[in-house]
Amino acid sequence: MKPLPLCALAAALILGATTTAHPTSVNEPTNDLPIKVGMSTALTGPASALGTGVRTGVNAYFDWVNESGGVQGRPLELIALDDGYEPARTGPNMRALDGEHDVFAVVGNVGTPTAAVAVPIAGELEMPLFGAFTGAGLLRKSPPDRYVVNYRASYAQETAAMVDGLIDGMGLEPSQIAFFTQNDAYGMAGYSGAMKALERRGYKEARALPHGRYPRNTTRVEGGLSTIMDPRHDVRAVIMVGAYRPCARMIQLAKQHGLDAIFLNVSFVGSAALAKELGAAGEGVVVTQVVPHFESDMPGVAHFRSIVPEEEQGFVSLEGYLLARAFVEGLRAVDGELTRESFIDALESGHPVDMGIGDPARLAKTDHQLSDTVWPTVIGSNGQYSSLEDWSELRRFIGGAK
Amino acid sequence: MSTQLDNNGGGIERELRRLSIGGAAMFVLLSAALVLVMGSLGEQVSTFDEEIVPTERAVGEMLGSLGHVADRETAILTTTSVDEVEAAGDDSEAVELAGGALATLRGTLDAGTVDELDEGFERFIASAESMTGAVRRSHEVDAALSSALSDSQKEVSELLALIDGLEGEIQLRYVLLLRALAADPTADTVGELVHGDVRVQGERVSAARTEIEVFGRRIEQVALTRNRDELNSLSSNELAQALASARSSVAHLEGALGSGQDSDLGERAAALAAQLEATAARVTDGDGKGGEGLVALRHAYFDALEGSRTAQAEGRARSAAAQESLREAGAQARALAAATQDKARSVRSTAQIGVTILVLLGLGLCGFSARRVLRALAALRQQNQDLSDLKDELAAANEGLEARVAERTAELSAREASTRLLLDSMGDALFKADPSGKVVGERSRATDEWFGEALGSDEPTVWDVLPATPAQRASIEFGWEQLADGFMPFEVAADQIPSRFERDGRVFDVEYRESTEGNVLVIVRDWTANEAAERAEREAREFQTLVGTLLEDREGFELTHTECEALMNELAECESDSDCLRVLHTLKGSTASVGFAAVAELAHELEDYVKEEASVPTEDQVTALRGTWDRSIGALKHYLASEESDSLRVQPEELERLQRFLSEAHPHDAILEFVDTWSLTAAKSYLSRLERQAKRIAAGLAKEVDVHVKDHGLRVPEALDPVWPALIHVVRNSLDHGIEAPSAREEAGKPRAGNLHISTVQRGEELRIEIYDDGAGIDADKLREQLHGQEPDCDVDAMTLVDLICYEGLSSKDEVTALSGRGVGVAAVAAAVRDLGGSLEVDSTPGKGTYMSFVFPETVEGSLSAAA
Repeated sequence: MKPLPLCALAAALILGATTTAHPTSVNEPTNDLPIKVGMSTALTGPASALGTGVRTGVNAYFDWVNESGGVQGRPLELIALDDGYEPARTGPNMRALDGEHDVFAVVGNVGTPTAAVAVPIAGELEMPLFGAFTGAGLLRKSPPDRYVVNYRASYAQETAAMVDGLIDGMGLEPSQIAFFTQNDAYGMAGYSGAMKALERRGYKEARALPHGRYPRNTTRVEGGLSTIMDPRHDVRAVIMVGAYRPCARMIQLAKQHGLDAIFLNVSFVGSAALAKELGAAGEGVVVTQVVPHFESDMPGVAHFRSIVPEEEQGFVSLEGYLLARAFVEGLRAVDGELTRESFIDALESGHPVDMGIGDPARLAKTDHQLSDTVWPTVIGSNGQYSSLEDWSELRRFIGGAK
Repeated sequence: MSTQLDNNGGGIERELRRLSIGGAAMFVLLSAALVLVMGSLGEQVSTFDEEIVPTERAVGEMLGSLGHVADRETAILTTTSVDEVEAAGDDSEAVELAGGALATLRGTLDAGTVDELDEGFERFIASAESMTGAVRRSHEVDAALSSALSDSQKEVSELLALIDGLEGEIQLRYVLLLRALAADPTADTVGELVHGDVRVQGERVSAARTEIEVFGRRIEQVALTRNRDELNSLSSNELAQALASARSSVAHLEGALGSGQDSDLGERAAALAAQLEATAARVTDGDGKGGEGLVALRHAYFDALEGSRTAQAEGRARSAAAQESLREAGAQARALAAATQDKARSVRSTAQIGVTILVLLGLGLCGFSARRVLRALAALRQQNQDLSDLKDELAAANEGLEARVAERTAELSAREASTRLLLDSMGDALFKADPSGKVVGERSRATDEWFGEALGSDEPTVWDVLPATPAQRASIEFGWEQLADGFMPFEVAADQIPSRFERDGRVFDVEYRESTEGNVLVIVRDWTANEAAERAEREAREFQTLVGTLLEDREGFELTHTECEALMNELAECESDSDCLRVLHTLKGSTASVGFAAVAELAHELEDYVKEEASVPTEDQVTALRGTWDRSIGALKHYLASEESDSLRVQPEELERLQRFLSEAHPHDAILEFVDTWSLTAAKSYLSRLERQAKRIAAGLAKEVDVHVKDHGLRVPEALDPVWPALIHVVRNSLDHGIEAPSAREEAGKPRAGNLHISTVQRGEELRIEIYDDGAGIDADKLREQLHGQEPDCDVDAMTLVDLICYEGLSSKDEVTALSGRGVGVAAVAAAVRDLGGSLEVDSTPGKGTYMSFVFPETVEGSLSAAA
C-alpha cells in the first residue's frame, strides 16, 4: 500500500468542492458572416401599422448600407419576428432571436407592454436592445440599463415641449392649460412630464389645473370633458395623452359645445389615424413628433426620402430609418473586433452619432438617449400635417385669447 | 458332576439368549423413537413452510393494499380538477391483491379475525370510494362557483360602465348649463339649474353608482364567506339589502331620466335597470339551495366541503380499524409460529430424555446379564478346579486340559458376540481410543459405516477417524495429550476437544467419556436433524423480527433492502481489500439495523477474514453470503417487489394546510406553489428514521442517550437519497465512540444520559445536515500518532481532522465492536456526500463533544425548498 496517494485521495475526497462554470453565450460573429439584427414587433393586429412602418425604415437603411459595402465588409441582415403587440409572445421571440437566430442586437421593437418583457431579457442575455419605439420611462432609468439604448424622446419630454411652446411661444398663462389623459401609466407619464415642466417654471398651482380622464379602451369622454369645460376655468389649450379614437371624440364634442381652445396630442396617438377620424374638426389640432417632419429638408430626412418609396414615407418609417442609421453609426464606432460589449463601449465612449437631423448625438454611461428633440406639427385645413415652426401661429385658431 | 456342568452351561446360554432378546428390543425401540422424532420435526418444518410463511406474507400483502388505497386517497385530496381525479385511477388492483391475501389467511387464521379483517377492508374501500366522489363533487362545484363569480363581477363592471357613461353625460349637461349661465346671467337657466332635471339627474346617478358599487362588493363577499352561517346572514341581510337599495336607486334614476326630453338617456336608464335584474338573477337564482346562482353555488360548495371532510374522517377511522384487525392477524400469525416452535422444542427434549432412558435401560440389562454370566462362569471355574483336582488324582492331565481349552474358547467367542450385538444395535458410532489416541477394541457398526475408510488405515487415531479440518485435527491431538497427562480433570480436558464436525452435509456431535484402563469412549451422534431444527428456529425468529421492522417502518426497510442489494453486487465486484472492508462494514451495519441477524453475523465473519488475511473474500464466501441474504429476503421479496408505486407522502399538517387554503379560497398560484414543494421529500421522515435507529443502537450498546431531531420544516431533494442510509454510520460512531457509558459520564461530571442532535437546516443557499453529540470528542493527536505508526511516510501533521476521520482503517477506539470502530464508516458517508458535490465540516473538542455538518450546495439537483 502506498500511503501518500491515499492521503491525497482522502484530502481530495473531502475538500473537492464543485464549482459550476456557466459558459457565457455571447454571440461573436465571425468576419465572413452577415451581422444579424433582430426585431420583435407588431406585424399583425391593431398596432401592425407601427411595426411594419418601423421595419420599412430599418430595412431601407440596411439595404442602402449593404449596397455601399456593409459594415467592416459584412452585410447587415434584419430578422423581424411578429409578436402582435402581445407581451406573452415577446419573451419567446427575444430568446429565439438570441439562441436560434444568433442575432447581434435587437432594434426597433414597438410598444410599452412588450418592452416591459424585452428589457429584463436583454439584460439577462447581455444583448443590446436598441431604439425601441416607446417613450416609456422603464427604458429610461437613471443610470441607464447597459444594454438599452433609446432613439426617441420620452412622453414626458413631449408634453414638456407642449407646455413650453404654449407659454413661451403662444403667450398663454399656465392657468389657461387643461389636461385630458387616458387613466393608465401612459396617460400619467405624459401628465407628470407637463407637471414637472410647469413646476420648473415656478408655477405652483399646476396640479390644480383641470384634468379630465377617460377609461382606457372606451370613448366615454363626457365626464372628463365636463371637468375641462367647468365655467370657472378659462381653458385655452388642452394637452391630451390618449388613443386617437377617444381623443378625436373629445375634440369633436368640445368644439360642438363651444370650447375655444387648442388641442395638443403626443406622437403615440397615431398621427394619420387621428387626422382621418377628426376630418374637418381637425384643423389646428397639434401633434408633437419625436422625428422631424418627413418632408423636412434636414439632410437625414432628405436621404430617407431618397431611399424609401413615397407611399411608405411617414413619421413612423422615418423613425425606423433614424434608429437604423444610429445603430450603424454605433457599429462603425467600434475599433477592432465587433462584439456586443465593444459596441456598447464604443457608444458610451461619446463617439459622435450623426443621424443627419442636427448635431450628432453623443452617449455616455449616464446617457443612453440619442434624441431629446420634439418636433410639433399641426393639421391644416387640408387634413395634412405640417411642421409648426412658430407656436404663435396657433393663435389664429382661437378667438379672444390674451 | 456332569449334571452341574450342564446346569451352568445352560445358565450362560439362557443369559446370552436373554441378552440378545434385550438387545433386539432395544434396537427396535431406538429405531422407532428415531422415526417418531424425525417425523415430528419434519412436520414442524413443513408447518413453517406451508402455514406460517404464507400467513406472514399475506399479512404483509394486506398491509400493502391498505397503503396503496391510502396513498391514492392522499393523491385524490391533492387534485384540483375532476380530470385529475379521473387520472388518479381506482383501487381494483389493491382489492384484488387483498382478496388473494384474505384467501390465504382464511386457511391459517381464526375465521372470526379474518372475517373482521375482510369486513374492515371492504368498509375502508367503500369509504375511499365515497371520498373520491366527494372530492369530485367539490371540484365540480368549485369550478361552477369560480365561473359564476367571474361572470357576476363582469356584469357588475358592465353596470358600473353604464353608470359611468350616464354620469359623464349628465355632468357635461350640468357644466354646459353653468357655462350658459356664466355667459348670460339673466337667462332663465338659473331656475333650471336650481330646480331642473339635470341637478336631480346628477344626484340620482351618483346615488345609483354608490348602491351598485355596494352591491358589487356584497357579491364578492359571497365567495369569501367561510361557513354556512356567514353565507346565510350575508345573503338574507347585507346582500338582499344592497340589491333592494340598488333596485330602488336605479328606479329613481329611471324616473328622473325618463321625465327628461332626451329619450336616449331614458333608454340607457332602462338598459341599466334590465342589466341590474340580470345580475341579480345570476347572484340569487335558486336562492338558498339547488339553483345556479352564486349564493346557491356557495351553499353547494359548503355541502361538498362537508361531504369531503366527513368522508375523509370516515376513511381515517376505517383505515385505523382495518390496521387494527391486521395487527390482530399479525399477532395470531406470530402466536402460531411460537406454538410451532414450542412443539418442536418439546419433541426434541422428549426425544433426548427417551433415548437416554433407553440407553440406560440397555446398559442396565447388559450389566445385569454380565453379572449373571460371570457368576455362572465362577461356578464353572470352581467345578473345573474340582475336576482338575479330580484329574490330578486320576492322573489323567492331558485329556482334562483339552476339554478346558475348548470350553474357554467357546465362552470367549460367546462374550465377544454379545458385545458386538450390543454395539451394532446402537445408532451412534461408539469406539474406544487409548491414551495415545489409537482406536482400540470393539466399535459399533455405525462407526464403520461412517468412518470405515479412515479406520482401514494402519493403527488409526481419533484425529484420523473424525472428519475434522486441519485446525480441528490439531486441536483434537492437543486435547488428547491433555487427557493423557491427567493434569486437568477429565471433564475439563474433554470439553476443550472439538465436538461438532461436518461432512457430506451431515453434522456430527461427539462426546468423550472416561473409560476403563485410561481409555476414552468416543460417542459420535448424527446431529443433522437437530441442526436443521435449530436453524429453522433461528430463521423463524429472524423472520419475525424482519416482519416487525417492516410493519413499523416500511420505507426504511425498502431503503435498506435496495441498499443491501446494491452492496451485494458491489461486493462481488470489489477489487481491493479496503473496498471490501467498507462494503462489508456498511452491509453489516445496515442488515443489523433492520434485523437480518444471520447476514450481519456472516458479514462480520467475512470482515474479520478480510482484515486478517488482507485479501478480498473468496468467491465461495461471497456466494455463501449472497445465499444467506437471498434466503433471508426471499420470503419478503415478493411483497417488496410489488410495491413499486409512484406515491407521494404528505405530512398531516401539510394536508390540513392545503384544506385550509382551499376552504379560504386562496389564489390558485399560492396553492400551486405550496403543493409544488410536495414533490420533494420531507426531511422529517428521514430524521425520524435516524432517530429510531439511533435509539435501537443506543439500547444495544447499553448507553443512555436522548436523541433530538429537528427538520425546520424542510423538504429535501431526491438527489440526497444515497446520503441518508450512509448517515447511520455517523450516528453509530457518535453513540459508540462519542457518547460515554453512563458511569464514565458521571465521573466526568456530565449527566448520565448523553445527547445526540440530528437536524436539517438551510443556511443561505446551502442545505446542512448536522449531527452533534456531547460525548468524549475526537482526540486528533491520538489519531495522528496512530496513523504515523501505521503509515510512517504519511505527513500526518498536514492532515486536517476531516482527513483523519475519513482515513480508512483508522479509529481512535482501541476495540472494534460489531457496530462500528473500523474507521470505514465516515469514509463511506464522505464518498456519498462527495458524489453530490457536497462537503463535510467537523469540529470536536476532546471531552466536550463532536459536531459534524454535511453541507450541500444549491447545485444539488432539485434545489432546496422550505415548506414555508
